[in-house]
Amino acid sequence: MDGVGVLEIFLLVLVSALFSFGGGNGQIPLIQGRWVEPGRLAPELFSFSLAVTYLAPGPRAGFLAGVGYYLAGLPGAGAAVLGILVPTVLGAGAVSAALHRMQRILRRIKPSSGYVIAGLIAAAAWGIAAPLELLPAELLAVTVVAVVIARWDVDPLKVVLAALSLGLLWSLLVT
Amino acid sequence: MTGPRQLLGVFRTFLGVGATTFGGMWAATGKLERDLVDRTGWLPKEELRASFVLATLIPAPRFLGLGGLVGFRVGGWAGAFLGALGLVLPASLLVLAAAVVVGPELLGGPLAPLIRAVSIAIVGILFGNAYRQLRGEKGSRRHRQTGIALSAAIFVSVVLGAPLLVSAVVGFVVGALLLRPGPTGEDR
Repeated sequence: MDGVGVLEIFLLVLVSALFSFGGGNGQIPLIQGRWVEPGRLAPELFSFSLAVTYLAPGPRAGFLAGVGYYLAGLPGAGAAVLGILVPTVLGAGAVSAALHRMQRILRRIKPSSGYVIAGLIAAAAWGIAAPLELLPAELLAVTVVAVVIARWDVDPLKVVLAALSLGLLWSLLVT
Repeated sequence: MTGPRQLLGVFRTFLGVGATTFGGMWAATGKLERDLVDRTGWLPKEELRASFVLATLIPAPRFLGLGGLVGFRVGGWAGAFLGALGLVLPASLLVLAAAVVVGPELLGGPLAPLIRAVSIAIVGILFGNAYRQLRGEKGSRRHRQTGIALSAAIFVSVVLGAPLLVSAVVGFVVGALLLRPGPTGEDR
């Protein structure tokens, strides 16, 4: 494999931010095209970095640290994280300036904002559920979790930890 | 002028959010409201809700964008950096630890059921969160029925493939036309 420099990691992640408009992880296709497909990063290492973020808290962008590490060690991990932070900060400054001038619009959307957000949250749930092709027992589990969260406002962290325990048990039974 | 204490507060708050929330920004709306509106009072509820959508305009994953937006409001450029850094740091360290300590051979073995179990839990958390969001809205019966219809329309439009940002903006415009605030600023 060709070596990948720290500066290249920083710049590619920085540029890939342009593909994240709309809120997605636009880095994924660019990393695949630039490093995975040419054989500079093994596909299983890339998949592993992505997979671990499903078990990690916070934003999925954490996978960039793994990609950076596999390419150039700890400096590579730092460069990748810095590469995603720079456009975030610049974008936040620009959008905040616009938000400052939007107080009248904010007042107008106030009565509907909770309903709009509820629709977007449900759509996000669907976006995760659809590719999973859930089995009937899993659909039941989704319903139970949804009711527990809706009815008793249980801390989602506890639900995820319970799911992790069940997954571990399942894993031990299968293997 | 923002002092070091306030900047540290931004970092610590988002570090806490980044370390304890799973499933992305939409699964964390309740915690974010508690932390950023109720506990710290950094911004009003409606501004946080607008920020959820505005974060999609930032060229970054939207959860990070939200950290940057709120951080910028509290502490300017340094606040934006520390907010986003605090948010992404726990996941980055965990992925890094996994990369250093364990190997990708886990992917086809024990990791797969764990990921599926967590994904199922997150789907449930998101649907539960959506319901709580609806239940928390105040107003007359007609107002609530219109609002729920608006939520359903947005959900269906995104599921059918409409871009999230477009659905949200159209939703806000339609909502502003149909759900007007009362003369005293309270929702009808």
